[in-house]
Amino acid sequence: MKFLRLPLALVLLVLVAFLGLCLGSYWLSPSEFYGPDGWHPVFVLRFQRVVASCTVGCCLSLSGMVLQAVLRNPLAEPFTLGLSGGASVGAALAFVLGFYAKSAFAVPAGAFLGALAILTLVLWISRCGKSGSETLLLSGVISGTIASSVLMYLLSVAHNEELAGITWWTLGDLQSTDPKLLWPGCVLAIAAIVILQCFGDKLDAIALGDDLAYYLGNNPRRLTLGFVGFASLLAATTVAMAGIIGFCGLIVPHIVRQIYGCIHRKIAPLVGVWGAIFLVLCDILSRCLYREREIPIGVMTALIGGPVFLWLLNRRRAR
Amino acid sequence: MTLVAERISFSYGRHRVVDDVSLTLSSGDFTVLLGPNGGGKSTILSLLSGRLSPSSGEVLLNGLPVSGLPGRYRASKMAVVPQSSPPTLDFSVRERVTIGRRARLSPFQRMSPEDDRAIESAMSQLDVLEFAERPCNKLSGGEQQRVSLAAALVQEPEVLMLDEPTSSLDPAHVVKTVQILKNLPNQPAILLITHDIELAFHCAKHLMLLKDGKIRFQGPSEEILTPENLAEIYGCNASIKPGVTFF
Repeated sequence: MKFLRLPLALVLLVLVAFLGLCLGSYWLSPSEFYGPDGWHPVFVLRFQRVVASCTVGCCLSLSGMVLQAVLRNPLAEPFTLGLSGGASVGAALAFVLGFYAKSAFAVPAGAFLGALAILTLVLWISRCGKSGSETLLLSGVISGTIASSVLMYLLSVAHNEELAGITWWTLGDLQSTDPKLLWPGCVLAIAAIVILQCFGDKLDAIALGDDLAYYLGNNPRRLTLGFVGFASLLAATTVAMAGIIGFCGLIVPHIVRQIYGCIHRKIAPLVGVWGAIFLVLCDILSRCLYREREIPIGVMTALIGGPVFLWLLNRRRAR
Repeated sequence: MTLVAERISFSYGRHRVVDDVSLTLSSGDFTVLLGPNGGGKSTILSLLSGRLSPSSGEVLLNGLPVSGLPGRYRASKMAVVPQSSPPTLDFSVRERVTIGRRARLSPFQRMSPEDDRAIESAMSQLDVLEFAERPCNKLSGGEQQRVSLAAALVQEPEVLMLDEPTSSLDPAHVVKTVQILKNLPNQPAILLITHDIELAFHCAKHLMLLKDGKIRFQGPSEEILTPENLAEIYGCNASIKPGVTFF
């Protein structure tokens, strides 16, 4: 039955994605997808949104899986190293400085650069991971706090319209994902699964600690740097596509490990696919629960992810 | 296969932890390193494995500097059982042992039936098969030590270095572990660090007494473990009583 795990998850993803195309503020039947005038405009919007959800969910979950292993901390998630703070500052700057009105790419680019800037700062403080994963973690927390202070200042000087844009963006927004970012994001998500399948053994080794990783034939510092950089690239891409979406990168790897085990070579595709399923489901709920006004996706993932995580924590404690 | 340390020294800041130590480990050797806490035993193990680089001297595996060896080659020749610390993630016992075996394989190589047999055999030898699916971090200290040992044995190393591998084991498993180590089919060179003087006395073909980073005495255990030598190393009176023993 083990060989059926991935195909079953993929079938479930297709079903959920299909639901995502039909459900929303109103029901779009499959027969309406394509008409004499071509693709239905609502179908086109929803299709882009479903693809964005799949990509972002997959990348966030894989990023969380990698960081939990490298930092040897089951509570780590894609934004543990302060990336969300850096990305928020980058996006807020794009709003406050007025770049968002000039180019649709301004906010995603600002967020992406902000996330990479904070990653550089974290790596610099932790001497490129030389001081160990604890220092890396602490550097991330401190850098994130500094970035939050800068964000507070930017919020205090922003005008009403900019303020609304920043707030909506920090809550996560799959609706406004630029279609030009969709396909590069998809390619990155699929490449990430393949790369993590190839280097899953290395991730297992580093998850056992720096010393054991060395005894198992690896260079722990190089591995830490490579994996942290890779996970950050995935997280920064999701931020550029859809803003900050929490909990997905925390709970999906947790649940997959509890069900399928910890060998990363085997679980990487499952983490990616289940991450996509989780985010598409959350997106459907965010559109359908309150039809008058959409619930931000970041709020929905936290509302579902929070209780699920607490349940997992209790189950783990009880074992 | 020979692992040679030539006059290696190492300092943490100004504190010299290992001072001009030379030793040779060859196939079939069973060398035991004894010494007080903070004497430099674990640092010597880190230097021999290449985890730390000596400030002077060098460590050679088959004539090649150990720190420059390709990772997979090093992992196929040398295994280390460090003082146990459970993994944070919920790796099961079987997964932990499998990771040891995969260190020998390339990222794209699939596990062969021979690999599967080696994993089963190592787990069976160390009596961990009965809890093979349980997470390592939910096991007792002794069970974790047996898992770490199984994960090292499955690498089928030519040099096996163990840092206090029996400190949490019950007497029956200490005896079994020693028997396993003595009867390994490929006869690796073994370096065992322990505080158990009786274990050292009965296992070691070659024994080294270490204090303040220097090897003070070395030779056959019955010649080295004298009350006078032990008093000098540990600063207290101790002796080995001949007679009934587990070993």
